[in-house]
Amino acid sequence: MIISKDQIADIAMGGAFLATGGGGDVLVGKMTTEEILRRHGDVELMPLEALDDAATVIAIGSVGAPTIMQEKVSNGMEALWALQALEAYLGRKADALIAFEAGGLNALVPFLVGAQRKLPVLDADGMGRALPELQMETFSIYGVKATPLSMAGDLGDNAVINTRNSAVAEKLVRQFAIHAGGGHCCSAEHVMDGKTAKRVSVPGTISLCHRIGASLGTHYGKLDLFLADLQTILKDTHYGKMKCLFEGKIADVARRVEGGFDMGDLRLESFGADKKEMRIAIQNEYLIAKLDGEVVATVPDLIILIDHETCRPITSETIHYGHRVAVIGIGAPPIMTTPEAMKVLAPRCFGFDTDYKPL
Amino acid sequence: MRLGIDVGGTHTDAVLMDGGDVCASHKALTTADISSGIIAAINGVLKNKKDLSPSAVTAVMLGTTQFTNAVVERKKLAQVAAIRIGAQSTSALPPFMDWPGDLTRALGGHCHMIDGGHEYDGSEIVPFDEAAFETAITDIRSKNLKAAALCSVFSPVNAATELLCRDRLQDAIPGIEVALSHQIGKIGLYQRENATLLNAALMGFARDIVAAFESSFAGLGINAPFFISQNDGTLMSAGFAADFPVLTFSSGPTNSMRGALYLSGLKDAMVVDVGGTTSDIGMLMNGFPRQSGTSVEIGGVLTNFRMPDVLAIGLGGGSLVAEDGKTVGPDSVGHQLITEGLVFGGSRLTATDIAVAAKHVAIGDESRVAALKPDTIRQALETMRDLLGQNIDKMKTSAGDLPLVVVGGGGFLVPDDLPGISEVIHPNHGSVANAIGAALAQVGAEAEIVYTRGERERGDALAEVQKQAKDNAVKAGADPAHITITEIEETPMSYMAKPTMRLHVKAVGDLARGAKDGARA
Repeated sequence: MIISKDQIADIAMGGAFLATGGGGDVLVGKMTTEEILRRHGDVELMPLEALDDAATVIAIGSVGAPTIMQEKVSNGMEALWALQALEAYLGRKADALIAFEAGGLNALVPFLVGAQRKLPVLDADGMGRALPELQMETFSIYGVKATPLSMAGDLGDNAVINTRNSAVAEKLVRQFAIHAGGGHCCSAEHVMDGKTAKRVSVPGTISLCHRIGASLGTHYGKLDLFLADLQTILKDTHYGKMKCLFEGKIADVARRVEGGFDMGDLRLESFGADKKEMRIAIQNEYLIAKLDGEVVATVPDLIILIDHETCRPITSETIHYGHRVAVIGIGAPPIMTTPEAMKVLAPRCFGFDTDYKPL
Repeated sequence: MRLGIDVGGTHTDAVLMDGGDVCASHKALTTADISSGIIAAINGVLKNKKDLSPSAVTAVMLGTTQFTNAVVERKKLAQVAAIRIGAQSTSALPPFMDWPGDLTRALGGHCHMIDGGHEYDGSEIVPFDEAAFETAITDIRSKNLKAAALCSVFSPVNAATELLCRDRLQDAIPGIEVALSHQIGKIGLYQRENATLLNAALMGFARDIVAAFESSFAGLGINAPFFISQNDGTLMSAGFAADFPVLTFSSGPTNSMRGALYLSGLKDAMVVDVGGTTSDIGMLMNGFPRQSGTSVEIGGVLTNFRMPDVLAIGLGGGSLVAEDGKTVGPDSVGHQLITEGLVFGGSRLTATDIAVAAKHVAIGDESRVAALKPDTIRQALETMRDLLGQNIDKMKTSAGDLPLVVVGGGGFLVPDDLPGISEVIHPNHGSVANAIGAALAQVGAEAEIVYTRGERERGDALAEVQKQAKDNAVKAGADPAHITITEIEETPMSYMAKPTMRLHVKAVGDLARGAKDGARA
């Protein structure tokens, strides 16, 4: 499939949907990507099956505070500079790019580079959603080393690091973002061959973003039609069950910053007289949903809040008291719920005193 | 006495307030030149109150949609030089991106991308490129542009470059209108720059309008200070409005809610303003209209303005009713109600006809609806109740029952028993609630700061930003002795090594006595 700037808006909207509340506002990312594709041309979206086993695949994306990216909106070069730094270190070039995260802005970052370098972008990613840390990528979970990893900021400063494990790399990337990018940088990482990429990636996620985004456009403001269409779209994918968990209003938002994360708790009240109550825990993303005290959905399954009137996904940074929402749960793909994946993706890994409860 | 004026699409309403009392009100038709409609409305009020001398008017407050309309209709807009400072961090998103083509053309699409700008902590990204700025000035002069919009990265945190550039521009090109982004919007470059561009395009027009209004008032013998409504339900002095016309966007719904607040005396209530075609539903919280959480588009351009969260539904006095009564609206005869409605001798069944048939109101010729089937009437009333009830509940953000204040000309459509509503109130003078809202509004202003915990005490940062907001309120015409902080919004910025917070503060104050054209910020 060829992606032109005309498809970017749908991929961005679908990316915002899969972001489960994280990933920042995609509007700015959408416009910058459209501009770069307008300047440099279309990009091939390649299914995993079409990838050569011997190809060199590199994962890319951006890291940083969404609020900062709303202000320093990017020059479109940071991800390309990161890739170039890593290629120079490796002494070889990438044959294909993969998003390390399909949720939010990061569904788009590979296209910025793909357009400028005429490289295909794989229809897959390393998270199947948005998640806060590098070691949560399926690439790391299934044994691919995150490093050598390169980073680049808006002024062209870059660095290549080699670390014992993904967790250490994650810490260094954050420090680099603060000191060389004013709170934001792009990284290139998880160098792997095509055969490995097929084994360790969540397949089909970028085209899924595109389909969900298109559906949100078609069914703008028609919740029932959108949910029915989403059900149909998800049937062709690796994702599990889809459920509408709740419809109601945000009755309270409590938030705080801990360890560089945007933490919070939402309390929702249902519309109408029955007054059911839902609580949702936030760590950048929506991670746990409880209905009248009982856990109904947990990470790694997707918990997505959409605006009840427009059906547009809502980020955890912008959710506010009084927002009228629908809460959607989607079962994570099997690659994210294996015993290996549970070692980093189970609710307890995020500090919650509850086990994974599949939808 | 205060004179409140609301310039709407169809009617220009004027209301004279003595302290808290409505002394007189008048509805006139809105005219193409706006001024003569305003003069007609004021004359109507003065006629209603014969013993009144125009000099007894101590302040004039005006709500207007003219600046919004200028953008929507692409009229009266000046060409603008868009000057972005922070090119190396933002060049993938140049000014005018995603704008409707005709609006970009109206503003000329002149862009200058210059290196400079600041990080979130106020430090320089790279030094400001003075040579590039000089080249931009030469270009602006050669194109004979009369307005410029300056937008520097993180200027809400550090405004130094925008201020420096303004001084240089005004020295080099005397009389040029310059809009500074840090005075107009919050963090969020794209939306802030959009608002700044629109503001720059409107400044010349705004200055003319304000002067025209002032001379109209003077012609009527009114020499009182003159204020214009902002979209958050507060006022700014006319001089301030000439510098910041974009701040008037969407002040209409705000004024009707503020009017409802005043007329009902309720600080927490639901409000419905029923017009000819639509009903606007909003909520009063702690004496202010609840603000929308999402960005608002003006004329196809995304901004980050403060707007009241209002849900417009297609139900008004002129809404068409299906024969079985199961559908009411959104199609409407609108302003033709007084010729097309059944009770007015027309042939279309409207919501007003149903209300007359049900004896909820006595308008027109009742006999013309005598033949309507009771089933149709009952069903149509039920349809309207469901439509209002469900949408009012959607807008309600607290679980308990709240009173509902009904304003606007079609208020008789609202039934007395609605789910989640404790009491339905139809206040006196409800049909001119907008003008009353304008007359009674206070003066407001905002300020913003980013601080890092550990490097700076929260209390210290909060004190600074509150002082900034209060200073801004005084500049906008508030009495320094009567200003209160009404909103403190604290947003965490994730991914920072140390907890970093953005503090946004709003201050609201009573009008300073004798305030006249508050100092320009």
